[in-house]
Amino acid sequence: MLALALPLALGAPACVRAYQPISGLQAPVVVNPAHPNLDGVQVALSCQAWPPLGPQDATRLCERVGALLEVQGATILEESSDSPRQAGTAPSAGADPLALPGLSPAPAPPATSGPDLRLSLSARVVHRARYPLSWLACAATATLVPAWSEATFAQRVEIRDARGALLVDRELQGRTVRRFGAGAVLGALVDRVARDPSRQVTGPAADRALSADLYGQLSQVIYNAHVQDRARRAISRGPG
Amino acid sequence: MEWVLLAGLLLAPVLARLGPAPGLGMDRDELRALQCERLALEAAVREEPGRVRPGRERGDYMDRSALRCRQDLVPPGLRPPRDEAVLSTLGAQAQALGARAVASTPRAGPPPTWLVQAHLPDPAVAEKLRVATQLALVAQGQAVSDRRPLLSPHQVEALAALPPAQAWPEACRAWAPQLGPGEALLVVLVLDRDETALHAGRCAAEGWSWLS
Repeated sequence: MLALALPLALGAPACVRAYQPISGLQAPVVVNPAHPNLDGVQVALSCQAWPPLGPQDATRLCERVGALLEVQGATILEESSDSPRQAGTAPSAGADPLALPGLSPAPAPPATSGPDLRLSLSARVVHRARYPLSWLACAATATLVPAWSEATFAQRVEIRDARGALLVDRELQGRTVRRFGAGAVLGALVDRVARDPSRQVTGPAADRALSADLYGQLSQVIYNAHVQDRARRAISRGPG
Repeated sequence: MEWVLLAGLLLAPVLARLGPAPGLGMDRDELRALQCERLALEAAVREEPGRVRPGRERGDYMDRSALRCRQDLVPPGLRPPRDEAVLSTLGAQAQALGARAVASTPRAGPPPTWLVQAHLPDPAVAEKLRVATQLALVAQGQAVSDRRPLLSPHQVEALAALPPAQAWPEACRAWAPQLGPGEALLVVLVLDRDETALHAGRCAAEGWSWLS
């Protein structure tokens, strides 16, 4: 009876999310996303809706990435997703896994010419699993044993120069694990209480880590493309 | 008895590590030290024989795949980020640089003997990259020489004042007389202190050409 009573005492069984970078998302980042790395660079941004997040989330991602680039001094010329926003518009408020940590965009100057870089973001679900046996065990133990489900996602980043030449084509992969039940809640509590905040992996820490990884990688990849584009222009102009 | 059962149930998911998953079994630093890839079941059975059970003939009751991970040799955070960016993917970057060099070779005439130089802020990392690129070129069937053309201190000083787009072609003019017949110099470099991508150029008797 005690085993049945404990989950109730802990409160309603809940879902706990954890995040793991699979490949690319944990790569080293040299640029500081809060510095004006892209001063004066004009970027055309497009985000394609994809099944796990839907059109509204794609629009929100575009807003966040646009704000991230504006913080770094770029001008967002256009955004093509299901509901485009004007350059310089602040992203919608509210807690979400894609929130920009501690950054607020500067007002963007009006666009005057074509883009220097064309950034296209798209994503896909690589794998999804629900582990039915864990759900059976979860039900049989009054949610003391957590039920598991997980999804592996891939974020593709494609950057082209003004003439359409491909500068960057990268895929960043991550994994989200969801655990359900009183056991999962207890595990998340232990994670929060026993671990240093920089080593936590569940709940808000997972959202912060995903945001930091995604926006850090985007900042680095776009900066690399910017340097390459600048070098190509200098080379094509020739000496003098 | 109930307490023992309860403790067992609560500890089961912690003790039973269901693969490298974020949770009480692995913290953030441990997870970030893993480089993983998701493999389809067929590929996992083929590439990891004996470790992944093949699918049943009539199909499984769930969609199965495998997550294959390897641990970084050096834990993240011990090296500067740019060095880490180069060294954590050294093999792949050297392979790509070698392939770009080979693709840049004119089809007419015999393949060149490659001399390799790497210009990165940290000389130790540059040396590692140089050797890895040489090995990648050898693996692609190319002839490689360990000889290095040099610049005088005056030339280095003059070149340092030029923008990269001019400096490297000028450096090539200084290197070219030092190259033997049939030799080409592959130069690997970074153009900006904050970028993690590498650039490459080819210096030969006919002059400098960018490979990026």
